[in-house]
Amino acid sequence: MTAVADAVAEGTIGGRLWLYANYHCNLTCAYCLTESAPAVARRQLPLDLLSDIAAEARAEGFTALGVTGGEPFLVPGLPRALAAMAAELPTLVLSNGTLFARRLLAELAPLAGPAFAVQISLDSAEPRANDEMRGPGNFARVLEAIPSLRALGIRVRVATTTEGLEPESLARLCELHRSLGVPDEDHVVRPVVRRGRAVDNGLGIDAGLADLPAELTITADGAFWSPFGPTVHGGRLDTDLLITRTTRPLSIPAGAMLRIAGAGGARADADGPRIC
Amino acid sequence: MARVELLTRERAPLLARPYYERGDPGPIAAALANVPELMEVALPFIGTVYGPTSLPPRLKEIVILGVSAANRCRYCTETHTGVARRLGFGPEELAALRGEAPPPGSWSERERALLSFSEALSSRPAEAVDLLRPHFREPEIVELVTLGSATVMLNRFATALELPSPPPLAGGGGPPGPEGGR
Repeated sequence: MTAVADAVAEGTIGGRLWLYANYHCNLTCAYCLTESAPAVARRQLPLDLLSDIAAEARAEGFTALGVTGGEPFLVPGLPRALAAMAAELPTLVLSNGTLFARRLLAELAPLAGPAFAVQISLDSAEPRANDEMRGPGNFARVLEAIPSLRALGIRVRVATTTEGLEPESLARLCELHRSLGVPDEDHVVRPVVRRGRAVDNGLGIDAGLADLPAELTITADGAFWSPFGPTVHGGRLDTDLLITRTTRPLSIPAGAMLRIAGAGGARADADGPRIC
Repeated sequence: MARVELLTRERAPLLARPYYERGDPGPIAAALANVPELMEVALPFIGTVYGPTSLPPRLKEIVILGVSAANRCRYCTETHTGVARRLGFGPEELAALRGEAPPPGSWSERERALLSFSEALSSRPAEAVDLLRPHFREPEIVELVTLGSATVMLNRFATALELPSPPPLAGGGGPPGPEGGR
């Protein structure tokens, strides 16, 4: 057992290693943690680095991988990197669900299987309420993407980021994802965190070290405590949850994270409460 | 204004937070906080070298201020003029340490040798060590060279990044640091 594997087994840190593929996005969501938008700096992790880190992650004792951004599927060639990652550890990629045209679907088809899943954001069963936060036309594209991915045999999870859904709204949303073939255990509901663009829009809840999942997160700017860590506000990277600038060998940020987690304050679950 | 961001307490990375617990850690720490894994080892090293050791603080301050003045490091010279004053160095002594006057007649041979060593360390390092040999034992020479070399590094760091000099006696706390344990 490695030190990371021990810590994961004990629940001191989460088993999933996150990678920020990029920071740019085709959407400009009101609560985006990273102020992602089409014109922001891409700050992209090289594709070969993604697969190399995946191999290191397995050797270090991590149990799963997550890829987020920005919108990861804006990175050309990402499906090949995802396939290499999934060959190492179960891999989840987060997406806004708007880019799954025929060509991308064809590239993703070989990834169908238990080691790969796509998590798509869907905040409401009401198109207007969803698109108010996430942009015009988002709802319709997501409702098209989920069945398309599932038809390929790809597992799809739905993530709902909310300021607080009324029970009836949540019930309608759960009905919707079930109708799309996404079971309750694959529906994640989480609060808006007051970082990034959410600060300017007066959205979300404050969350500090003890509130955020202890899941090592690698970005082009360094390693962070949580996927909620490498946020951007006013165009400037937040550094309060930075662990190290060094990301490789992975043992350096992992070791630093274990020291911090050993000092207390760690919470290892990343996905938040499942409410369905 | 510094040429890099001097991280505030609110933006201090996780490994850097202990250095902010007692207030403003000073510009060197606030700059190093941008790379926490370097800060985590650099500040304890500097704290050990600059902190209490087998050599008297007075002798160590001659090296720190003497090297800083020889390297024309504005930040370190201004900061350590204050530290030296608090250690009891008088105006004539401070002028000598800042390279503005010869050492006072009251200084011992050891102190004069140390100042000569400090002035020579950056430009003629091997010769600088020869200046110490008649007056110091080998472990002391190693420590003095370590202290002087650490000061050279900080001189370059502070000058290159244009760190702002802190006001006299300002600052909070944190672990003993390069600003003389501020």
